[in-house]
Amino acid sequence: MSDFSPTDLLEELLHLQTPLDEPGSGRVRYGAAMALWRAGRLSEAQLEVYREAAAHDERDPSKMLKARGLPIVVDGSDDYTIAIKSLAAAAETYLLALSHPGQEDVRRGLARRGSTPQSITPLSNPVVTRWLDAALSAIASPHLALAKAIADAAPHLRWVSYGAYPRDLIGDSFAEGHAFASLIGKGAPYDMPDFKLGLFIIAPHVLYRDHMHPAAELYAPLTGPHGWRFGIDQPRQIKPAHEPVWNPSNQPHLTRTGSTPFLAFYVWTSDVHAVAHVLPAKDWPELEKWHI
Amino acid sequence: MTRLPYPSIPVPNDWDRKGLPAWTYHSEAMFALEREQLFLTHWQLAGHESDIPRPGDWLSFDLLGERAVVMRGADGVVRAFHNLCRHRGARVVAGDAGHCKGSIVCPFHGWVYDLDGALRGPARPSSFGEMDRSEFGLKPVEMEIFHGFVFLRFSPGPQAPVTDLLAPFAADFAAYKLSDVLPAGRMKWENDLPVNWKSVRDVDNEGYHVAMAHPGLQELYGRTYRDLNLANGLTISVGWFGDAPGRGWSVRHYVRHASKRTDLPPHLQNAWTYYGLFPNTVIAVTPEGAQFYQDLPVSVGMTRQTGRLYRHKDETRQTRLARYLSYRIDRATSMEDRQLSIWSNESMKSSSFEGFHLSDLEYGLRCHHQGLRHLMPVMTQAEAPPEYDLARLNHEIKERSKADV
Repeated sequence: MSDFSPTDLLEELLHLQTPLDEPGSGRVRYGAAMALWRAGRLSEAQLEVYREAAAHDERDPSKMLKARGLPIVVDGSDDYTIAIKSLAAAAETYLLALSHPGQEDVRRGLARRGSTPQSITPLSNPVVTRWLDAALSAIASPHLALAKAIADAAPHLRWVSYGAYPRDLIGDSFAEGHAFASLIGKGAPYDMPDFKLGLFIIAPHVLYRDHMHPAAELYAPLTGPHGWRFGIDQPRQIKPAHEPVWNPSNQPHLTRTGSTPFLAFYVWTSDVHAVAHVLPAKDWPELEKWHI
Repeated sequence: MTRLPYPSIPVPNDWDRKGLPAWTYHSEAMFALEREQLFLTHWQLAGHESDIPRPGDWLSFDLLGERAVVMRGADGVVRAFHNLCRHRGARVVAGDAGHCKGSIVCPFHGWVYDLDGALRGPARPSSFGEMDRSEFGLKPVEMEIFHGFVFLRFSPGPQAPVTDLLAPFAADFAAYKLSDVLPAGRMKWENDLPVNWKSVRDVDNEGYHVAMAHPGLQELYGRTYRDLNLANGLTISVGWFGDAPGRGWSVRHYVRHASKRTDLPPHLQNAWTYYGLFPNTVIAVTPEGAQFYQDLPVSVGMTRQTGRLYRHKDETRQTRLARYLSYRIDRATSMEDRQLSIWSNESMKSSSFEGFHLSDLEYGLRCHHQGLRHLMPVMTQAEAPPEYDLARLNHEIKERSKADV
């Protein structure tokens, strides 16, 4: 008789799917296999395959099971749940390792996330269709497992454009060249009313004009380089991939993408319902030509 | 002079100014007794809750053959276990710190434990026949958390529970919000010093040497420095900076950039305060951050100095700068103390060494030594007893003093 709850088992099934190239993943899969053996979902022979594979993070236990004529472990959860939970785990691992002034607020918000995602209706977006693969291809080791988690989850997410900006102020290139998808937030897979986490993609060579919002915001860019300024009269800066950008509440900011599509996690830790607004600047025509 | 809200013990007018006999610093039998009756039975500081923020995060703590792992469970609760697989005793986690995703897998044969230490299952389960898994969970280590700091004790001992023992520190720790500090920079530092652990404590337990041996600290706060001895092996040393600009590079810039913590009570503003816990632990707090350091004996002649650094959340650039400058001052002080410890320890082997003759300003050493003498009265013997007979003699003196009472 198993003493694991259905939620526990779902968690272990997810651990069983830990990507092969993730350091330590062999032991994670074996540890999960032990729970599933306890629950009667694996035979001891299958469990032993996972033990042998535990020392080899890159070795696929499913292939070993097949080679030995043993059944492959049937995953009892659906693709959506696995993909979303894997992305949430990978995103949190990545974000919690970043050092920035808002890291404690981010940590507190992530700690309140529920364990099981709710269903949402996915929505595709032409920016994602056109640029996501190129962005993910630019993500290098040691973040390959994160890139895979994003690739697996992307078709299940609801990709939309930010609609609060007047088109004439934000400009056509940004309006038609960006998309974002919520992972945590109101109505997102992980429903939270006062915290947001999601993926944000912008096509290459797009200017996201000066804007600000009451929400304190973290950008965690997975690609780069890209250009920034934090105030209309402030100097321009070039930032690489994986350098977090923390925007305190109402800090103006502008982003210019380079030749690689800009892909980032965004996090809003406060005032998540207040809208952003554009800050007009005279030098946008010049910035539209800024080559990163 | 700033009034301090601590119940300290005044230095008596007349006291025995001798230190411990030299032989206690080099005796293997004495060291074995210290292991058993002092280190394993007294609270040791392993880290802070913020060192292990996520479920599955862990840190290790090894001491004289005992080894612990402190882990945050899937339920968010911090627990401590012996880092010892119940199958063959292998370490279930290796290294200073890490993360176990979902479960703990012993690297020897593959026994698997839940993050709360319960045995999930042994490798090749059927090879054990009927097995009551509940009998084979990781063994817990006694643990208490005080303002976020994680204290361990490997065996029961004479000290009170940490919350009671450290109660005189509680108001200051709350004012500093030490429960909320975060790890700063690399999590852990350590240096091995070729001396007996008591020689390190003998240097650290008094501020009499500061004016001569620590020019940086003297410039920073030497004129105001005070050592206080409290009951139950607690000490508080404190110095206030800011009454002079300082000439050395680090001190000069530190005094200029140090945080103005008007939110703190007056006695903590502009203060560097060191909170000591018998026998070997100090938590040091400045306006910018906190650290703890401890002297962990490795052998009779080798001591591992180790510790961890913490910062406040929402740290400003200026606070970070001041914290860096305080680190530079500390680094110089530490190097100076290491040399003093080596000299002090080697003096014990000289035929002409006649023991310490302590100043009133070194009464902290006396208190520390008295704590050791109380636990291990064989240390009162001027001449070294035979090594084979030391433990028996210690027991005999202890029993005799009980009978006298």
